[in-house]
Amino acid sequence: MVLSESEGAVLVDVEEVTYAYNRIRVLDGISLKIRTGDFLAIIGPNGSGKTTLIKIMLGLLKPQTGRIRLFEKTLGRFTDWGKIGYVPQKATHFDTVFPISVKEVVSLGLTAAGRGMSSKNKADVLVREALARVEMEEFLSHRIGTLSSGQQQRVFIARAIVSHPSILILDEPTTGVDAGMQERFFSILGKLHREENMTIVMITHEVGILDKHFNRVACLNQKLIYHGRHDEFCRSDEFKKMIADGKHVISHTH
Amino acid sequence: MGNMSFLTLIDPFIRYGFLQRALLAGLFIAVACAVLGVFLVLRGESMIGHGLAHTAFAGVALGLLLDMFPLGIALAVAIMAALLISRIKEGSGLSGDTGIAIFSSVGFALGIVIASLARGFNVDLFAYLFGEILAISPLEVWLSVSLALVVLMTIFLFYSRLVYMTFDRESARASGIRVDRLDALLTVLTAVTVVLGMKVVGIILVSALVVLPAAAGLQVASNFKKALMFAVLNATMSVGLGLLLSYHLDIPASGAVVLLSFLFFGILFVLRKARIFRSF
Repeated sequence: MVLSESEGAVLVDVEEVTYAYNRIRVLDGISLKIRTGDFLAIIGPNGSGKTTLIKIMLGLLKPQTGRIRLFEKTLGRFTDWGKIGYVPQKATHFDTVFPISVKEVVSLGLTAAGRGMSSKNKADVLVREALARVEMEEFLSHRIGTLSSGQQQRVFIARAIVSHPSILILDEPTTGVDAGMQERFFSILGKLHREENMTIVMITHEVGILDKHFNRVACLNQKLIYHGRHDEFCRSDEFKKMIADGKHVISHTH
Repeated sequence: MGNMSFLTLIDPFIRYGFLQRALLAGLFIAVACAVLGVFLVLRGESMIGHGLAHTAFAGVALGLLLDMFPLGIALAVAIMAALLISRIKEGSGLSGDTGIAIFSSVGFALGIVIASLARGFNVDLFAYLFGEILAISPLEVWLSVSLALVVLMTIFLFYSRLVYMTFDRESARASGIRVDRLDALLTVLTAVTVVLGMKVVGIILVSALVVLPAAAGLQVASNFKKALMFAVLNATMSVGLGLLLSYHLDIPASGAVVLLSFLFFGILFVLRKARIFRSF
């Protein structure tokens, strides 16, 4: 059962976050709550601060002002990183000759800080199970560099979900993936959301698919322009303008 | 007949204590260099061994000048340099390569100055520059074996985190892994390994002992564990056969070890390029 927005516990609480790169402000007083059951799309033009926001949520960047709470704990006190799965923007931009098998890549997801050591047998079961959830189990012993980018992306999702996280955060995972693979990709994410009640946060440029897959939308352009139900957003003038103009209608301001 | 030839070939290892000591220390050091080398090559830090060895040269010269255990002082100097290089990478605005280049040249320059201050230990200094594994003392053997074991056990302990950080640094950080601490740990382990490797092939060639076996392993491996295995195989075969060639042909062990390692690397490189095999 997927919880509705009013029922869901707050997993990520972003409060008045501001961030600037070399005095160029990319986030300005952002506050938003991500709750259990959300299938949240974060949209906005290039340079609008989407990736920066995600990195601040994960502690990869330190905000100049504001604070983050993860699972009701301040970022500094949060240690249970196995509860969060993350697929970074350039996950597939690794050196393709890197000698690492699909099995080894997925196992890395079990090394998150705060997780106890799994026995080898238990780890093997978890890895196979994670690969099955993304329909990639037959590629277990392949070197990851030999797979297509769509297949690699599914392996990285398997790595992110192998520890059975409560929330999965993906940064533009469908970039460079063909339409067929993209559909399969969303079907996997939808299944994780519906059947495992996994909260999903995804940065995307594909505004045309918002109403099809997501239940919440956050629209950023330095400031939080919209955060709420996807259906309301899809009826808004802002969204209609976005569709009419193409993907990136919110102008760059830096 | 074949057995006779083989026995004749390895007979010196059975008969001579100095060769047994060289083999024992050499094999342990080779394994540590090879394992660490795979991480360093994949991190694009092939030259860090070279830089730290040059820095350690200042320690060797200082040790010889003060007539105190040169290997120990070289170890201390290399570890200090390693930690400073890590700090430079973190927050100075200089690239890691720049830090390595600065420490490498300053360390070597310092070594030359110290060596010129105390004339008379040129022979000893040459032994460190070009390696003299056949003259390794029993104390140095045990020190080498112990430190090589410490390096290997540390890598074993942090294996998954090191692989994660090497493959995908950002995701490793997002998993709560303190990659800055692991960077420092890896650099210190490199300093220890390089100082040990100095004894086998010398300061000039020690980075070859770190890089060549790893590069060979990366030619053929389909996964990380196999890359480590092939690197270790290359390194140990190079040391074992290099010592034998050195004894039988009366050539320097350091040169023989490095050339053999290059030969193994070259064979695997050509086979991969010729697509005779892709990967194991």
